[in-house]
Amino acid sequence: MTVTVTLAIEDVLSEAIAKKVVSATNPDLIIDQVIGNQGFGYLKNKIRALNHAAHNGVVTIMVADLDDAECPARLREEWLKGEMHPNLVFRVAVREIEAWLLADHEGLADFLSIPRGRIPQVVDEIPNPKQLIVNLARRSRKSWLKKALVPSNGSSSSVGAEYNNCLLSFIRDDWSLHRARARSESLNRAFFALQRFRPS
Amino acid sequence: MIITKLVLKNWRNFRSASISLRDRAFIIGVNASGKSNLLDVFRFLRDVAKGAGGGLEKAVSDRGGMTKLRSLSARKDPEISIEISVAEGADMPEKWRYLLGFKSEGKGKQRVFVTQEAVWRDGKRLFARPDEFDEDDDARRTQTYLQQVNTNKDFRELVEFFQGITYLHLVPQLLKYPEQLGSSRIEDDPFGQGFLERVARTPKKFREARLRKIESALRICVPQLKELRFQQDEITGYPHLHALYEHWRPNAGWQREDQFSDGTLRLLGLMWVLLDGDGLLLLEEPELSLNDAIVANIPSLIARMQREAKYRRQVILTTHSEVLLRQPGVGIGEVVRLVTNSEGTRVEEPTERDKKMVASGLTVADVLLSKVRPQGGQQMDLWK
Repeated sequence: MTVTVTLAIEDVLSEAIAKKVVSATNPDLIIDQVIGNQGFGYLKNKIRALNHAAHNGVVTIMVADLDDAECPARLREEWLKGEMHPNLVFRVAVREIEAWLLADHEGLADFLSIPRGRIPQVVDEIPNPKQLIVNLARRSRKSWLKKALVPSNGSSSSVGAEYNNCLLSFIRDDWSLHRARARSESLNRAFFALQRFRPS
Repeated sequence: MIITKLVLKNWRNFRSASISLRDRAFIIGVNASGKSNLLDVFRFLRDVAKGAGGGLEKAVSDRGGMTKLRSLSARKDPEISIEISVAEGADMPEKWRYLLGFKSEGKGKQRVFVTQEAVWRDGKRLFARPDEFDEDDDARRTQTYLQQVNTNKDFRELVEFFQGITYLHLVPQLLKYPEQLGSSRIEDDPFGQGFLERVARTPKKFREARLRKIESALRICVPQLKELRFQQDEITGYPHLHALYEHWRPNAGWQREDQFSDGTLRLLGLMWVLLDGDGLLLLEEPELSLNDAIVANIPSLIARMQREAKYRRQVILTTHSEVLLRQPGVGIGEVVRLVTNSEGTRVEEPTERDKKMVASGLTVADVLLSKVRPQGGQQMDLWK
Protein backbone atom coordinates (compact mmCIF):
# COMPACT_ATOMS: atom_id res chain seq x y z
CA MET A 1 0.00 0.00 0.00
CA THR A 2 1.38 3.40 -0.91
CA VAL A 3 1.86 6.10 1.71
CA THR A 4 1.86 9.84 1.04
CA VAL A 5 4.92 11.46 2.52
CA THR A 6 6.11 14.99 3.26
CA LEU A 7 9.80 15.53 2.79
CA ALA A 8 11.42 18.13 5.04
CA ILE A 9 14.89 19.17 3.97
CA GLU A 10 17.51 21.90 4.42
CA ASP A 11 18.28 22.68 0.80
CA VAL A 12 17.89 21.53 -2.79
CA LEU A 13 20.83 19.12 -2.58
CA SER A 14 19.34 17.24 0.36
CA GLU A 15 16.01 17.27 -1.48
CA ALA A 16 17.50 15.65 -4.56
CA ILE A 17 19.44 13.07 -2.55
CA ALA A 18 16.52 12.26 -0.26
CA LYS A 19 14.18 11.76 -3.22
CA LYS A 20 16.63 9.37 -4.82
CA VAL A 21 17.16 7.45 -1.59
CA VAL A 22 13.43 7.18 -0.84
CA SER A 23 12.43 6.00 -4.31
CA ALA A 24 15.28 3.46 -4.46
CA THR A 25 14.61 2.12 -0.99
CA ASN A 26 10.89 1.98 -0.45
CA PRO A 27 8.70 2.36 -3.54
CA ASP A 28 5.57 2.49 -1.35
CA LEU A 29 6.52 5.94 -0.11
CA ILE A 30 5.18 8.64 -2.40
CA ILE A 31 6.60 12.12 -1.81
CA ASP A 32 3.72 14.49 -2.24
CA GLN A 33 5.17 17.61 -0.74
CA VAL A 34 8.57 19.10 -0.01
CA ILE A 35 8.97 21.67 2.74
CA GLY A 36 11.99 23.57 4.00
CA ASN A 37 14.74 24.66 1.65
CA GLN A 38 15.60 27.34 4.19
CA GLY A 39 18.48 25.77 6.04
CA PHE A 40 18.53 23.94 9.36
CA GLY A 41 16.82 26.73 11.33
CA TYR A 42 13.55 26.11 9.54
CA LEU A 43 13.60 22.37 10.26
CA LYS A 44 14.52 22.95 13.89
CA ASN A 45 11.61 25.36 14.12
CA LYS A 46 9.09 23.03 12.55
CA ILE A 47 10.09 19.69 14.03
CA ARG A 48 7.65 19.92 16.93
CA ALA A 49 4.75 20.77 14.62
CA LEU A 50 5.74 17.91 12.31
CA ASN A 51 5.96 15.54 15.26
CA HIS A 52 2.52 16.67 16.34
CA ALA A 53 1.23 16.09 12.81
CA ALA A 54 2.84 12.63 12.90
CA HIS A 55 0.55 11.78 15.83
CA ASN A 56 -2.36 12.68 13.53
CA GLY A 57 -1.15 10.36 10.80
CA VAL A 58 0.95 12.75 8.71
CA VAL A 59 4.09 10.92 7.61
CA THR A 60 7.24 13.01 7.28
CA ILE A 61 10.80 12.17 6.34
CA MET A 62 13.23 14.79 7.56
CA VAL A 63 16.86 14.95 6.48
CA ALA A 64 19.18 17.33 8.30
CA ASP A 65 22.91 17.91 8.51
CA LEU A 66 24.72 17.07 11.74
CA ASP A 67 27.05 20.04 11.28
CA ASP A 68 28.82 20.74 14.58
CA ALA A 69 26.53 18.73 16.83
CA GLU A 70 28.07 15.88 18.76
CA CYS A 71 26.08 12.98 17.32
CA PRO A 72 22.69 12.37 15.62
CA ALA A 73 21.01 11.20 18.81
CA ARG A 74 22.06 14.36 20.62
CA LEU A 75 20.87 16.55 17.72
CA ARG A 76 17.48 14.84 17.77
CA GLU A 77 17.18 15.38 21.50
CA GLU A 78 18.21 18.99 21.26
CA TRP A 79 15.73 19.76 18.48
CA LEU A 80 12.68 17.90 19.65
CA LYS A 81 13.02 17.74 23.43
CA GLY A 82 10.57 14.87 23.61
CA GLU A 83 9.49 11.56 22.18
CA MET A 84 9.60 11.25 18.41
CA HIS A 85 6.54 9.64 16.85
CA PRO A 86 7.38 6.73 14.52
CA ASN A 87 5.59 8.51 11.64
CA LEU A 88 8.35 11.09 11.68
CA VAL A 89 11.53 9.65 10.24
CA PHE A 90 14.45 11.87 11.15
CA ARG A 91 17.72 11.09 9.38
CA VAL A 92 20.94 12.94 9.90
CA ALA A 93 23.75 13.26 7.37
CA VAL A 94 27.14 13.17 9.10
CA ARG A 95 28.35 15.90 8.96
CA GLU A 96 26.79 17.40 5.89
CA ILE A 97 24.73 16.08 3.00
CA GLU A 98 27.83 16.55 0.81
CA ALA A 99 29.41 13.61 2.69
CA TRP A 100 26.80 11.38 1.05
CA LEU A 101 27.95 12.70 -2.33
CA LEU A 102 31.59 12.09 -1.45
CA ALA A 103 30.70 8.57 -0.41
CA ASP A 104 30.20 7.63 -4.06
CA HIS A 105 33.95 7.72 -4.78
CA GLU A 106 33.79 6.42 -8.32
CA GLY A 107 30.87 8.61 -9.35
CA LEU A 108 32.14 11.85 -7.85
CA ALA A 109 35.80 11.37 -8.88
CA ASP A 110 34.73 10.79 -12.48
CA PHE A 111 32.34 13.73 -12.36
CA LEU A 112 34.97 16.06 -10.91
CA SER A 113 37.63 14.55 -13.12
CA ILE A 114 40.08 13.88 -10.26
CA PRO A 115 41.90 10.68 -9.16
CA ARG A 116 39.68 8.44 -6.98
CA GLY A 117 42.33 8.15 -4.28
CA ARG A 118 41.88 11.79 -3.30
CA ILE A 119 38.58 11.17 -1.51
CA PRO A 120 38.90 9.89 2.10
CA GLN A 121 37.68 6.35 2.74
CA VAL A 122 35.49 7.12 5.75
CA VAL A 123 33.39 10.05 4.67
CA ASP A 124 31.46 10.43 7.94
CA GLU A 125 34.71 11.58 9.53
CA ILE A 126 35.29 14.46 7.12
CA PRO A 127 34.91 17.62 9.22
CA ASN A 128 33.74 19.90 6.41
CA PRO A 129 32.50 17.91 3.41
CA LYS A 130 31.25 20.96 1.49
CA GLN A 131 34.64 22.60 1.69
CA LEU A 132 36.25 19.33 0.62
CA ILE A 133 34.14 19.16 -2.54
CA VAL A 134 35.14 22.73 -3.41
CA ASN A 135 38.81 21.94 -2.72
CA LEU A 136 38.66 18.81 -4.84
CA ALA A 137 37.09 20.84 -7.64
CA ARG A 138 40.13 23.16 -7.55
CA ARG A 139 42.19 20.19 -8.76
CA SER A 140 39.70 19.27 -11.46
CA ARG A 141 41.00 18.77 -14.98
CA LYS A 142 37.80 20.42 -16.26
CA SER A 143 38.19 24.17 -16.10
CA TRP A 144 34.45 24.87 -16.43
CA LEU A 145 33.82 22.74 -13.38
CA LYS A 146 36.40 24.65 -11.40
CA LYS A 147 34.69 27.92 -12.34
CA ALA A 148 31.28 26.55 -11.42
CA LEU A 149 32.13 25.07 -8.02
CA VAL A 150 34.95 27.24 -6.68
CA PRO A 151 34.18 30.77 -5.40
CA SER A 152 35.84 33.56 -7.34
CA ASN A 153 38.68 35.47 -5.70
CA GLY A 154 37.47 37.92 -3.12
CA SER A 155 34.04 36.34 -2.79
CA SER A 156 32.74 35.94 0.74
CA SER A 157 30.88 32.79 -0.27
CA SER A 158 32.44 29.43 0.47
CA VAL A 159 31.18 27.90 -2.78
CA GLY A 160 30.99 28.90 -6.45
CA ALA A 161 27.92 30.51 -7.98
CA GLU A 162 26.80 27.33 -9.76
CA TYR A 163 27.56 24.98 -6.89
CA ASN A 164 23.98 23.75 -6.39
CA ASN A 165 23.05 23.39 -10.06
CA CYS A 166 26.26 21.61 -10.82
CA LEU A 167 25.93 19.07 -8.01
CA LEU A 168 22.23 18.59 -8.77
CA SER A 169 23.13 17.35 -12.21
CA PHE A 170 25.64 14.99 -10.62
CA ILE A 171 23.00 13.61 -8.24
CA ARG A 172 20.50 13.23 -11.04
CA ASP A 173 22.75 11.53 -13.57
CA ASP A 174 25.65 9.85 -11.80
CA TRP A 175 25.28 9.43 -8.05
CA SER A 176 24.73 5.84 -6.95
CA LEU A 177 23.06 5.12 -3.63
CA HIS A 178 24.49 1.63 -3.47
CA ARG A 179 28.07 2.65 -4.07
CA ALA A 180 27.67 5.50 -1.58
CA ARG A 181 26.10 3.63 1.31
CA ALA A 182 29.07 1.30 1.44
CA ARG A 183 31.22 4.21 2.57
CA SER A 184 28.84 6.28 4.70
CA GLU A 185 27.55 4.90 7.95
CA SER A 186 24.88 7.60 8.27
CA LEU A 187 23.59 6.99 4.74
CA ASN A 188 23.55 3.25 5.29
CA ARG A 189 21.52 3.69 8.46
CA ALA A 190 19.10 5.97 6.63
CA PHE A 191 18.75 3.31 3.96
CA PHE A 192 17.81 0.59 6.44
CA ALA A 193 15.53 2.86 8.43
CA LEU A 194 13.56 3.70 5.30
CA GLN A 195 13.48 0.09 4.17
CA ARG A 196 12.03 -1.01 7.51
CA PHE A 197 9.72 1.96 7.78
CA ARG A 198 6.02 1.09 8.16
CA PRO A 199 3.87 4.11 9.09
CA SER A 200 1.19 3.62 11.70
CA MET B 1 -21.65 41.89 0.31
CA ILE B 2 -19.07 39.36 -0.77
CA ILE B 3 -18.78 36.77 -3.51
CA THR B 4 -19.04 33.37 -1.88
CA LYS B 5 -18.99 31.09 -4.88
CA LEU B 6 -17.90 31.15 -8.48
CA VAL B 7 -18.56 28.49 -11.11
CA LEU B 8 -16.79 28.77 -14.46
CA LYS B 9 -17.05 26.96 -17.75
CA ASN B 10 -14.57 27.47 -20.59
CA TRP B 11 -13.31 30.75 -19.10
CA ARG B 12 -9.73 31.19 -20.33
CA ASN B 13 -7.74 28.31 -18.86
CA PHE B 14 -10.58 27.08 -16.66
CA ARG B 15 -12.50 24.46 -18.58
CA SER B 16 -14.59 23.79 -15.55
CA ALA B 17 -14.07 25.12 -12.04
CA SER B 18 -15.97 25.77 -8.86
CA ILE B 19 -14.44 28.05 -6.25
CA SER B 20 -15.58 28.96 -2.75
CA LEU B 21 -14.49 32.33 -1.44
CA ARG B 22 -14.40 34.07 1.93
CA ASP B 23 -13.74 37.66 3.08
CA ARG B 24 -10.13 37.30 2.06
CA ALA B 25 -8.89 35.00 -0.67
CA PHE B 26 -5.27 34.34 -1.53
CA ILE B 27 -4.89 32.82 -4.98
CA ILE B 28 -1.72 30.79 -5.43
CA GLY B 29 -0.35 28.65 -8.24
CA VAL B 30 2.73 28.21 -10.42
CA ASN B 31 3.45 30.74 -13.17
CA ALA B 32 0.85 30.70 -15.94
CA SER B 33 -1.61 28.68 -13.87
CA GLY B 34 -4.34 31.28 -14.36
CA LYS B 35 -4.23 33.43 -11.24
CA SER B 36 -4.72 36.67 -13.17
CA ASN B 37 -7.30 35.02 -15.42
CA LEU B 38 -9.29 34.20 -12.33
CA LEU B 39 -9.19 37.82 -11.17
CA ASP B 40 -10.22 38.82 -14.67
CA VAL B 41 -13.63 37.14 -14.26
CA PHE B 42 -14.58 39.76 -11.70
CA ARG B 43 -13.21 42.59 -13.81
CA PHE B 44 -15.16 41.17 -16.74
CA LEU B 45 -18.42 41.25 -14.78
CA ARG B 46 -17.65 44.80 -13.74
CA ASP B 47 -17.07 45.77 -17.38
CA VAL B 48 -20.33 44.14 -18.46
CA ALA B 49 -22.26 45.81 -15.65
CA LYS B 50 -20.87 49.23 -16.46
CA GLY B 51 -23.65 49.98 -18.97
CA ALA B 52 -22.53 53.14 -20.78
CA GLY B 53 -18.99 52.56 -22.02
CA GLY B 54 -19.23 48.92 -21.06
CA GLY B 55 -21.48 46.00 -21.81
CA LEU B 56 -20.91 42.45 -22.96
CA GLU B 57 -19.66 43.16 -26.44
CA LYS B 58 -17.10 45.71 -25.26
CA ALA B 59 -15.95 43.54 -22.38
CA VAL B 60 -15.33 40.67 -24.80
CA SER B 61 -13.63 42.75 -27.48
CA ASP B 62 -11.42 44.51 -24.90
CA ARG B 63 -10.10 41.06 -24.11
CA GLY B 64 -9.30 40.22 -27.70
CA GLY B 65 -12.58 38.54 -28.64
CA MET B 66 -14.12 35.15 -27.98
CA THR B 67 -11.16 33.18 -29.31
CA LYS B 68 -8.93 34.65 -26.61
CA LEU B 69 -11.49 34.16 -23.87
CA ARG B 70 -12.69 30.67 -24.53
CA SER B 71 -10.65 27.91 -22.91
CA LEU B 72 -8.18 26.21 -25.22
CA SER B 73 -9.12 22.92 -23.66
CA ALA B 74 -12.81 23.46 -24.40
CA ARG B 75 -13.82 20.80 -26.90
CA LYS B 76 -17.05 21.10 -28.85
CA ASP B 77 -18.91 23.32 -26.41
CA PRO B 78 -18.62 26.91 -27.74
CA GLU B 79 -20.21 28.54 -24.69
CA ILE B 80 -18.46 30.39 -21.88
CA SER B 81 -20.44 30.59 -18.68
CA ILE B 82 -19.97 32.35 -15.36
CA GLU B 83 -22.13 31.76 -12.32
CA ILE B 84 -21.60 33.80 -9.21
CA SER B 85 -23.17 33.77 -5.74
CA VAL B 86 -23.20 36.81 -3.50
CA ALA B 87 -24.03 36.88 0.21
CA GLU B 88 -23.81 39.29 3.13
CA GLY B 89 -20.94 37.29 4.60
CA ALA B 90 -18.87 34.14 4.24
CA ASP B 91 -21.16 31.68 5.98
CA MET B 92 -24.40 33.48 5.21
CA PRO B 93 -27.14 32.26 2.87
CA GLU B 94 -26.90 33.28 -0.76
CA LYS B 95 -28.55 36.62 -1.43
CA TRP B 96 -27.96 37.03 -5.13
CA ARG B 97 -26.99 34.61 -7.86
CA TYR B 98 -26.10 35.67 -11.36
CA LEU B 99 -25.61 33.38 -14.33
CA LEU B 100 -24.26 34.49 -17.67
CA GLY B 101 -23.54 32.26 -20.67
CA PHE B 102 -22.39 33.57 -24.02
CA LYS B 103 -20.88 32.41 -27.27
CA SER B 104 -19.94 33.59 -30.68
CA GLU B 105 -22.84 33.93 -33.13
CA GLY B 106 -21.14 31.35 -35.33
CA LYS B 107 -21.89 33.09 -38.61
CA GLY B 108 -21.86 36.48 -40.33
CA LYS B 109 -20.59 39.24 -38.10
CA GLN B 110 -19.66 36.79 -35.31
CA ARG B 111 -21.45 38.89 -32.72
CA VAL B 112 -21.29 37.81 -29.11
CA PHE B 113 -24.62 36.21 -28.17
CA VAL B 114 -26.08 35.72 -24.72
CA THR B 115 -26.94 32.03 -24.53
CA GLN B 116 -28.32 32.17 -21.03
CA GLU B 117 -28.75 34.78 -18.35
CA ALA B 118 -30.55 34.56 -15.05
CA VAL B 119 -30.72 36.27 -11.67
CA TRP B 120 -31.90 34.76 -8.39
CA ARG B 121 -32.71 36.73 -5.27
CA ASP B 122 -32.89 34.76 -2.01
CA GLY B 123 -33.12 31.59 -4.07
CA LYS B 124 -36.01 32.82 -6.20
CA ARG B 125 -35.40 33.26 -9.89
CA LEU B 126 -36.27 36.73 -11.16
CA PHE B 127 -35.91 35.95 -14.86
CA ALA B 128 -34.29 33.53 -17.24
CA ARG B 129 -33.07 34.12 -20.75
CA PRO B 130 -33.42 33.41 -23.60
CA ASP B 131 -37.04 34.50 -23.33
CA GLU B 132 -39.74 35.06 -25.96
CA PHE B 133 -38.40 38.56 -26.81
CA ASP B 134 -35.01 37.10 -27.60
CA GLU B 135 -36.66 34.62 -30.00
CA ASP B 136 -38.25 37.52 -31.88
CA ASP B 137 -35.23 39.75 -32.09
CA ASP B 138 -31.69 38.48 -32.53
CA ALA B 139 -30.11 41.82 -31.72
CA ARG B 140 -31.43 41.64 -28.15
CA ARG B 141 -29.15 38.69 -27.59
CA THR B 142 -26.06 40.86 -27.97
CA GLN B 143 -26.85 42.60 -24.69
CA THR B 144 -27.16 41.34 -21.16
CA TYR B 145 -29.96 42.46 -18.87
CA LEU B 146 -27.20 43.29 -16.41
CA GLN B 147 -25.95 46.20 -18.52
CA GLN B 148 -29.32 47.84 -19.27
CA VAL B 149 -30.97 50.20 -16.80
CA ASN B 150 -34.46 49.31 -17.94
CA THR B 151 -33.95 45.58 -17.45
CA ASN B 152 -31.81 45.56 -14.31
CA LYS B 153 -34.16 47.57 -12.11
CA ASP B 154 -35.04 44.59 -9.90
CA PHE B 155 -31.45 43.68 -9.18
CA ARG B 156 -29.77 47.08 -9.17
CA GLU B 157 -28.03 46.21 -5.91
CA LEU B 158 -26.16 43.41 -7.67
CA VAL B 159 -25.34 45.63 -10.64
CA GLU B 160 -23.86 48.25 -8.35
CA PHE B 161 -21.94 45.57 -6.51
CA PHE B 162 -20.30 44.52 -9.76
CA GLN B 163 -19.69 48.13 -10.75
CA GLY B 164 -17.91 48.76 -7.47
CA ILE B 165 -15.20 46.17 -8.10
CA THR B 166 -11.69 47.67 -7.93
CA TYR B 167 -8.58 46.17 -9.46
CA LEU B 168 -5.04 47.20 -8.60
CA HIS B 169 -1.89 46.17 -10.37
CA LEU B 170 0.18 49.28 -10.31
CA VAL B 171 3.03 49.17 -12.81
CA PRO B 172 5.36 51.96 -11.66
CA GLN B 173 6.89 52.46 -15.11
CA LEU B 174 3.50 53.23 -16.63
CA LEU B 175 2.96 55.88 -14.03
CA LYS B 176 6.41 57.34 -14.29
CA TYR B 177 6.82 57.44 -18.06
CA PRO B 178 3.35 57.68 -19.60
CA GLU B 179 4.47 59.92 -22.48
CA GLN B 180 7.50 57.87 -23.42
CA LEU B 181 5.55 54.64 -23.35
CA GLY B 182 2.71 56.17 -25.32
CA SER B 183 0.38 53.71 -23.71
CA SER B 184 -3.30 54.17 -24.20
CA ARG B 185 -5.01 54.55 -20.90
CA ILE B 186 -7.23 51.79 -19.65
CA GLU B 187 -10.24 53.19 -17.92
CA ASP B 188 -10.80 52.21 -14.32
CA ASP B 189 -7.81 49.92 -14.15
CA PRO B 190 -5.18 51.62 -12.08
CA PHE B 191 -2.19 50.14 -13.86
CA GLY B 192 -0.55 53.51 -14.00
CA GLN B 193 -1.76 56.96 -14.85
CA GLY B 194 -5.30 55.86 -14.07
CA PHE B 195 -4.27 55.64 -10.46
CA LEU B 196 -3.46 59.35 -10.25
CA GLU B 197 -6.77 60.16 -11.89
CA ARG B 198 -8.46 58.08 -9.27
CA VAL B 199 -6.76 60.18 -6.63
CA ALA B 200 -7.71 63.36 -8.50
CA ARG B 201 -11.40 62.37 -8.71
CA THR B 202 -11.64 61.99 -4.96
CA PRO B 203 -13.22 65.00 -3.24
CA LYS B 204 -10.55 67.21 -1.68
CA LYS B 205 -11.60 66.64 1.90
CA PHE B 206 -11.38 62.84 1.65
CA ARG B 207 -8.25 63.01 -0.43
CA GLU B 208 -6.42 65.12 2.12
CA ALA B 209 -7.52 62.94 5.02
CA ARG B 210 -6.45 59.79 3.20
CA LEU B 211 -3.09 61.22 2.18
CA ARG B 212 -2.39 62.13 5.84
CA LYS B 213 -3.15 58.54 6.90
CA ILE B 214 -0.99 57.12 4.11
CA GLU B 215 1.76 59.58 4.89
CA SER B 216 2.05 58.43 8.48
CA ALA B 217 1.91 54.73 7.53
CA LEU B 218 4.38 55.25 4.71
CA ARG B 219 6.84 56.98 7.02
CA ILE B 220 7.41 53.70 8.81
CA CYS B 221 8.51 52.07 5.56
CA VAL B 222 10.25 55.08 3.98
CA PRO B 223 11.80 56.86 6.97
CA GLN B 224 13.10 59.91 5.05
CA LEU B 225 9.59 60.78 3.86
CA LYS B 226 8.21 63.88 5.55
CA GLU B 227 5.12 64.94 3.67
CA LEU B 228 2.84 63.81 0.89
CA ARG B 229 0.95 66.32 -1.23
CA PHE B 230 -1.42 66.18 -4.18
CA GLN B 231 -1.22 68.87 -6.87
CA GLN B 232 -2.79 69.46 -10.24
CA ASP B 233 -0.40 70.86 -12.84
CA GLU B 234 -1.59 74.42 -13.51
CA ILE B 235 -0.85 74.32 -17.22
CA THR B 236 -1.53 70.76 -18.33
CA GLY B 237 -4.04 69.90 -15.65
CA TYR B 238 -2.31 66.57 -15.01
CA PRO B 239 -2.62 65.27 -11.46
CA HIS B 240 0.62 64.71 -9.57
CA LEU B 241 1.75 63.46 -6.21
CA HIS B 242 4.63 65.18 -4.49
CA ALA B 243 6.62 63.94 -1.56
CA LEU B 244 8.93 65.88 0.65
CA TYR B 245 12.02 63.98 1.66
CA GLU B 246 14.28 64.96 4.48
CA HIS B 247 17.18 66.90 3.07
CA TRP B 248 19.91 69.07 4.45
CA ARG B 249 18.58 71.95 2.35
CA PRO B 250 15.06 72.82 3.48
CA ASN B 251 12.47 72.63 0.68
CA ALA B 252 14.97 71.07 -1.70
CA GLY B 253 13.63 67.60 -1.14
CA TRP B 254 10.33 67.80 -3.03
CA GLN B 255 9.96 64.97 -5.53
CA ARG B 256 7.24 64.17 -8.04
CA GLU B 257 5.85 60.65 -8.52
CA ASP B 258 8.19 60.00 -11.45
CA GLN B 259 11.05 60.18 -8.97
CA PHE B 260 9.46 57.90 -6.37
CA SER B 261 10.95 54.46 -6.02
CA ASP B 262 8.95 51.54 -7.48
CA GLY B 263 8.32 50.22 -3.98
CA THR B 264 7.07 53.56 -2.67
CA LEU B 265 4.67 53.90 -5.59
CA ARG B 266 3.29 50.39 -5.25
CA LEU B 267 2.84 50.77 -1.53
CA LEU B 268 1.12 54.09 -2.03
CA GLY B 269 -1.24 52.54 -4.55
CA LEU B 270 -1.99 49.64 -2.23
CA MET B 271 -2.74 51.90 0.72
CA TRP B 272 -4.90 54.15 -1.40
CA VAL B 273 -7.16 51.39 -2.69
CA LEU B 274 -7.46 49.92 0.78
CA LEU B 275 -8.94 53.21 1.93
CA ASP B 276 -10.90 53.92 -1.24
CA GLY B 277 -14.28 52.46 -2.12
CA ASP B 278 -16.25 49.73 -0.44
CA GLY B 279 -16.56 47.09 -3.14
CA LEU B 280 -14.66 43.93 -3.93
CA LEU B 281 -10.94 44.68 -4.15
CA LEU B 282 -8.70 42.68 -6.48
CA LEU B 283 -4.96 42.90 -5.89
CA GLU B 284 -2.37 41.49 -8.24
CA GLU B 285 0.76 40.32 -6.40
CA PRO B 286 0.79 43.12 -3.81
CA GLU B 287 4.23 41.95 -2.62
CA LEU B 288 6.07 43.13 -5.75
CA SER B 289 9.00 45.53 -5.16
CA LEU B 290 8.40 45.52 -1.42
CA ASN B 291 10.70 44.59 1.41
CA ASP B 292 9.66 41.38 3.19
CA ALA B 293 9.08 43.22 6.45
CA ILE B 294 6.48 45.35 4.68
CA VAL B 295 4.93 42.38 2.87
CA ALA B 296 4.47 40.75 6.26
CA ASN B 297 2.16 43.63 7.15
CA ILE B 298 -0.13 43.26 4.13
CA PRO B 299 -2.52 40.62 5.55
CA SER B 300 -3.09 42.60 8.72
CA LEU B 301 -3.47 45.87 6.78
CA ILE B 302 -6.20 44.17 4.77
CA ALA B 303 -7.87 42.78 7.89
CA ARG B 304 -7.75 46.20 9.52
CA MET B 305 -9.25 47.83 6.45
CA GLN B 306 -12.04 45.24 6.47
CA ARG B 307 -12.71 45.88 10.11
CA GLU B 308 -12.93 49.65 9.60
CA ALA B 309 -14.95 49.56 6.39
CA LYS B 310 -18.53 50.68 6.62
CA TYR B 311 -19.69 47.72 4.58
CA ARG B 312 -18.16 44.28 4.49
CA ARG B 313 -15.44 44.46 1.90
CA GLN B 314 -13.90 41.46 0.22
CA VAL B 315 -10.30 41.23 -0.96
CA ILE B 316 -9.08 38.71 -3.50
CA LEU B 317 -5.38 38.72 -4.25
CA THR B 318 -2.86 36.69 -6.19
CA THR B 319 0.51 36.00 -4.62
CA HIS B 320 3.75 34.05 -4.74
CA SER B 321 4.88 35.36 -1.40
CA GLU B 322 5.88 33.00 1.36
CA VAL B 323 6.19 35.89 3.80
CA LEU B 324 2.64 36.98 3.11
CA LEU B 325 1.13 33.54 3.59
CA ARG B 326 3.03 32.58 6.70
CA GLN B 327 1.47 35.39 8.71
CA PRO B 328 -0.57 34.22 11.67
CA GLY B 329 -4.24 34.61 10.92
CA VAL B 330 -4.04 33.39 7.32
CA GLY B 331 -6.31 30.35 7.29
CA ILE B 332 -6.14 27.36 5.01
CA GLY B 333 -9.73 28.00 3.90
CA GLU B 334 -8.71 31.42 2.58
CA VAL B 335 -6.26 30.03 0.05
CA VAL B 336 -7.35 29.10 -3.47
CA ARG B 337 -4.74 26.83 -5.00
CA LEU B 338 -4.64 26.47 -8.78
CA VAL B 339 -3.25 23.35 -10.39
CA THR B 340 -2.66 22.92 -14.11
CA ASN B 341 -2.66 19.96 -16.41
CA SER B 342 -3.34 19.37 -20.09
CA GLU B 343 -7.08 19.85 -19.46
CA GLY B 344 -6.51 23.38 -18.15
CA THR B 345 -6.58 24.67 -14.61
CA ARG B 346 -8.32 23.10 -11.65
CA VAL B 347 -8.91 24.51 -8.21
CA GLU B 348 -7.50 22.14 -5.63
CA GLU B 349 -9.18 22.01 -2.25
CA PRO B 350 -6.91 21.44 0.77
CA THR B 351 -6.67 17.76 1.67
CA GLU B 352 -7.38 16.31 5.11
CA ARG B 353 -3.64 15.92 5.42
CA ASP B 354 -3.05 19.62 4.69
CA LYS B 355 -5.59 20.55 7.33
CA LYS B 356 -3.97 18.25 9.90
CA MET B 357 -0.59 19.83 9.23
CA VAL B 358 -1.96 23.32 9.75
CA ALA B 359 -3.77 22.16 12.88
CA SER B 360 -0.42 20.82 14.13
CA GLY B 361 1.16 24.25 13.97
CA LEU B 362 2.56 24.54 10.46
CA THR B 363 1.65 27.68 8.51
CA VAL B 364 -0.43 27.80 5.35
CA ALA B 365 2.75 28.82 3.53
CA ASP B 366 4.57 25.69 4.78
CA VAL B 367 1.81 23.39 3.67
CA LEU B 368 0.42 24.88 0.46
CA LEU B 369 3.21 26.89 -1.14
CA SER B 370 5.36 23.78 -1.24
CA LYS B 371 2.75 22.35 -3.56
CA VAL B 372 2.90 25.20 -6.05
CA ARG B 373 6.58 24.96 -6.70
CA PRO B 374 7.41 24.00 -10.27
CA GLN B 375 7.40 20.21 -10.58
CA GLY B 376 10.15 18.62 -8.58
CA GLY B 377 11.61 21.97 -7.60
CA GLN B 378 14.19 21.38 -10.27
CA GLN B 379 16.88 23.86 -11.09
CA MET B 380 16.69 25.68 -14.36
CA ASP B 381 19.28 25.04 -16.99
CA LEU B 382 19.42 26.78 -20.35
CA TRP B 383 22.49 25.10 -21.72
CA LYS B 384 21.84 21.41 -21.73
